Amino acid sequence: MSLIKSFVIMALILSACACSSVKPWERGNLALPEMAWLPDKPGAAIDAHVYHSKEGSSGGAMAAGGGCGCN
Amino acid sequence: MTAKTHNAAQLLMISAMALPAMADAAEVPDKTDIQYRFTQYQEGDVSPVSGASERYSIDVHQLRVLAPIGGKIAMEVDLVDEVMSGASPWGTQGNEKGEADLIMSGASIAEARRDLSIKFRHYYDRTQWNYHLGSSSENDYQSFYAGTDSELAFNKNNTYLGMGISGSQDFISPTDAELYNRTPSEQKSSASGYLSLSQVLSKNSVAQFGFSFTGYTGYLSDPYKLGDQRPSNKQEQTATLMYRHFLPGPNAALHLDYRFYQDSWQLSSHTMAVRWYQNLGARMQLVPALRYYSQTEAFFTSLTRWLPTRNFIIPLTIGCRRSAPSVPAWVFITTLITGPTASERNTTGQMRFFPAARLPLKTRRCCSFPNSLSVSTLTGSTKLVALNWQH
Repeated sequence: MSLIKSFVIMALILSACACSSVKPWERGNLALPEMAWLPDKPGAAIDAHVYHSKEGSSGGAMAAGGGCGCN
Repeated sequence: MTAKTHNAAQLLMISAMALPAMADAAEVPDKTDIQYRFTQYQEGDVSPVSGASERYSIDVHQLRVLAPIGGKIAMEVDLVDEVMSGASPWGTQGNEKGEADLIMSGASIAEARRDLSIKFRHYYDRTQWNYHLGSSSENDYQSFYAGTDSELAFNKNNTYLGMGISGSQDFISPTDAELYNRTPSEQKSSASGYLSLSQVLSKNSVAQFGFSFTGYTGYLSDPYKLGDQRPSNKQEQTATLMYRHFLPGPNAALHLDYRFYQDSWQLSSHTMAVRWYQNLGARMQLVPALRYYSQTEAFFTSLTRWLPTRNFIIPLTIGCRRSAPSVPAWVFITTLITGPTASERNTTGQMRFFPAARLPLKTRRCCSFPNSLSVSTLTGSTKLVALNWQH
């Protein structure tokens, strides 16, 4: 439940930023590949796989380095 | 089965996160995009009290095809083919010094896994709706999964609401079940969902907050570990905060990620990652990164006192910029050096389970050059053979 509360709070905080509207022609940098949430999807899949095999937690979307790991 | 339990929730999130930060940039592809990636993974050897010392060596082939199939629909096919060999840890046991001795399987294991998934993407003016299904096959493990996700843009395309659900059904049939008194056949299932909110903060920055929930039920133990008996259900929750900032001066992008995780096994963790995408000219890119992870133990395990529960990982990636002009391919050379990481699979009763994360992960190697194969050596006996080709 605490996570749900935190989601609502974060949603409100992010919504508060909505007043700063960015025009479509100002979004060139935001559309760059290196600005994607996960620029390298196959790599992210392998990362998630190896971390899942090495750590007790998983899920969410963490863009991070890793490898293909198994136990 | 080598912990290949493909996490349906993970796949769903990865798939959704592969969208550009700006959803309005995610338009119907006008041509077929093909990407192949080869990764060679090698774990460092260990010193067990019994069994083999050679750990896993895995070759991973990934093929991804994204093609428009008419109208505002595109189809994505992802194929993963893995071939692995090496010994597997069976568990640990306490010695006279109170430390954990490792027990490995005696013989080298050789097996393969194939994962095939198909995803359909529907593009609308302010919405993208996707659904996917797939399966993962091994000789002792079969998994089927499906899911759907969507992203809606509003507030003049400055705010995006993402959501998705997925589920999986796994069938486990351990090898040599009679010989080693393993369970002959088991099943487990999972269901998950996520909700995310992305906000454009400025013309150079965007942030996202996400929440996900996953529930598992069925056989959640590892049949190849000695005496591994875990609860038959589990609920996981994650909260994720991600921030992307582009700096025109140095021509670089800063990525900040944080994840909080907790589950019904009383395990919680913090994961933080920082990445710096430094563009070097029009074609090259250098990406240093730092990842920090810490976790608590599950209620039915106890971490050995000398086992660090925190871990830093420093990956370094260099490659061609994906947006590089006249370069249809992009490349990555990544090295990863990691220390021990805590795992919840440490101890169960009197039998101490070897924390898999203590096994040093030597390097993760991925490299390619446009339409070519690269072979090189990164560290010691570790050879690099990698290709990443995109057309």
